[in-house]
Amino acid sequence: MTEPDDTTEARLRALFRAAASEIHPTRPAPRPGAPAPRTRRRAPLGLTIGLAVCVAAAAAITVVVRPWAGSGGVEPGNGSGPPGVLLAVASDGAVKLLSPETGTVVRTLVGPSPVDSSGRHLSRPDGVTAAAQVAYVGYLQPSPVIESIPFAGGTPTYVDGGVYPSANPDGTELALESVENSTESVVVRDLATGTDHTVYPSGTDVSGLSLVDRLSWSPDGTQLALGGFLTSRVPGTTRPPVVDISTGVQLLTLGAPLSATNPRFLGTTKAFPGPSRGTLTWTDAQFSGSGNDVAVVAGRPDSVCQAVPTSVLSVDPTTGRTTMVASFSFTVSDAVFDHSGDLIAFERDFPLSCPPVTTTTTTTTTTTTTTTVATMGPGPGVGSNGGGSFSSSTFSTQVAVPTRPVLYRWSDGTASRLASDIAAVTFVPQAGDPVPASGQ
Amino acid sequence: MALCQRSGFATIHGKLCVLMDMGQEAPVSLVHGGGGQNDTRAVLEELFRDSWGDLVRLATFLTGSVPVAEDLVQDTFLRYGSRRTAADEPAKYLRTSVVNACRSYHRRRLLERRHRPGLPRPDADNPGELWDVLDRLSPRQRTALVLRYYLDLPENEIAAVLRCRPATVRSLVQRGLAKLREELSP
Repeated sequence: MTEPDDTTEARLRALFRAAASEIHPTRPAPRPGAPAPRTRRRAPLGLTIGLAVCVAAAAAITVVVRPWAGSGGVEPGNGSGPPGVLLAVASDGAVKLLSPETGTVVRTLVGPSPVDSSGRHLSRPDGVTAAAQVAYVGYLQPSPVIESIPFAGGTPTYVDGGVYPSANPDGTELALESVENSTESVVVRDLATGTDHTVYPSGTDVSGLSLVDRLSWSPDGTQLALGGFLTSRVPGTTRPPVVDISTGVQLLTLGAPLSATNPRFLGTTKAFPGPSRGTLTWTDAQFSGSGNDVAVVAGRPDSVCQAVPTSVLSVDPTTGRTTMVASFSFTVSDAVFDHSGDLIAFERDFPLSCPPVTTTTTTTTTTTTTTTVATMGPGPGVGSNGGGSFSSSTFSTQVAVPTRPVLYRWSDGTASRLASDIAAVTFVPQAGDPVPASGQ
Repeated sequence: MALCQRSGFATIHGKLCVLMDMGQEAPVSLVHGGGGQNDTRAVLEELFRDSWGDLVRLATFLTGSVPVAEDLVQDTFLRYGSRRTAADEPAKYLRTSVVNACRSYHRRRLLERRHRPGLPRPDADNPGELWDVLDRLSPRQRTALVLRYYLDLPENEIAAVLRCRPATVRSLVQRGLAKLREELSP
């Protein structure tokens, strides 16, 4: 610097020094002695995950049409925004109500690492839903468990051993994936009597493979949208199922007997003998709050190492016709809709970077049966598949750069950041508005 | 829900994800001195450990918000980790990437504000003299001043980061200082 300006320069340096000492970044680093990996086995790669190309990608978002606009309710983006709040569970287990406009915390229901009425520390949330001013949150630790937490706050109360809770439109029943007794099935619990009714015995015949990862009620409460990893199994048969390694969506009509057409496939149900490249997969199925359309997140799992654009689609369950709601150049995992069915927020996932670090390949091909199942580590049950067989499982541990999702507000085709470190989120209308139909 | 918990990813230690690779083509490992995969991992981890805090502080000065800075730095690391080859000077490379990410962030925010004037400033929770004055600078001036007086970088290095001539850096710094002189003068 040629110009003598020592005072301002010195002052600025001092201010920087002082301010720098005040900034304490939270490093999302793995903690030593953290809980062991979840042993529950998952179906492999569904909607794959890409590395978002650039941080400015949010600006590159384009909205195509808004199929549910005009179906009643409030048009977002005109300054007033949707009434209601976002019910969000942070990665640390804290449950909060956020303003859908600014992301500011309206109320905290329970703080980080809540302790339930049995004295257990709850962590790793993976689903939230709400009905009648009560939040139902699914936690994975200490074991898969659903807890209820009133909006007024208080100690979480045990509801069931399960995951992915979804309250029905009038708040009398709770659909969930029960994982008690090592079986995983979709049950509907009567919240008044506490009785369970198994509606879909999924996963019980696939070495405990979890098949459902999103449940959503139709507005009239007669159907459940099941999002997850699908089988082509016809209930009642003993033939080993063919596991679709991509994700898809089924519609289950409650009260009707299970059959080849109930549940019926809604989208991307192709069964694959091997890795599914370039297939459009659907996930995150949710009934629209106002109509009967089902919203899904669609992506093309070409490679886990490249950016994978995702789209939010609206599907007419009767005709199967899809309409584009919004498309993104990065991976979206959770879409949030208000009660009029408009997309108001989404969660962007930051997948891990790609260089493979350690790769262990286990090849135990025994027959030519077309069942390929990747499992979560060498847990019990690997290699046994009820008469089928395994081909190969390759594990690739990714580079240890911790990631955390970011919740964005979506309005008028633009995205703005609302919060980060949110594990699950849903929209809750204010009192007097219809009860949300979507889960998680 | 974090994608870690679905789609074949699982979280361990609450933060790390393990991906079940179904045979996708992965880029070759970052090559650091011809080391193996474990070396690559160790190098990246070390880089992350060493520079996370510094990069977040830098991005905070550039954006005015710690959470935003953390997101941007996370993004930068992810992009760096997916490179096929290591940068010659990883620390410098990451620094430039963070500056660029912050620049994109400002561009995006300008765009958003143009469409929605009522949008709250994300750094509104950062009261204080420094933040107020930094906010009055153009993003480019702000970057130049932060690199010059926070990181104490020489002009030619700032020019490399900003992709401009050193003379431009000098002018950015001088104009920024001139603006600040009024604000900072007691």
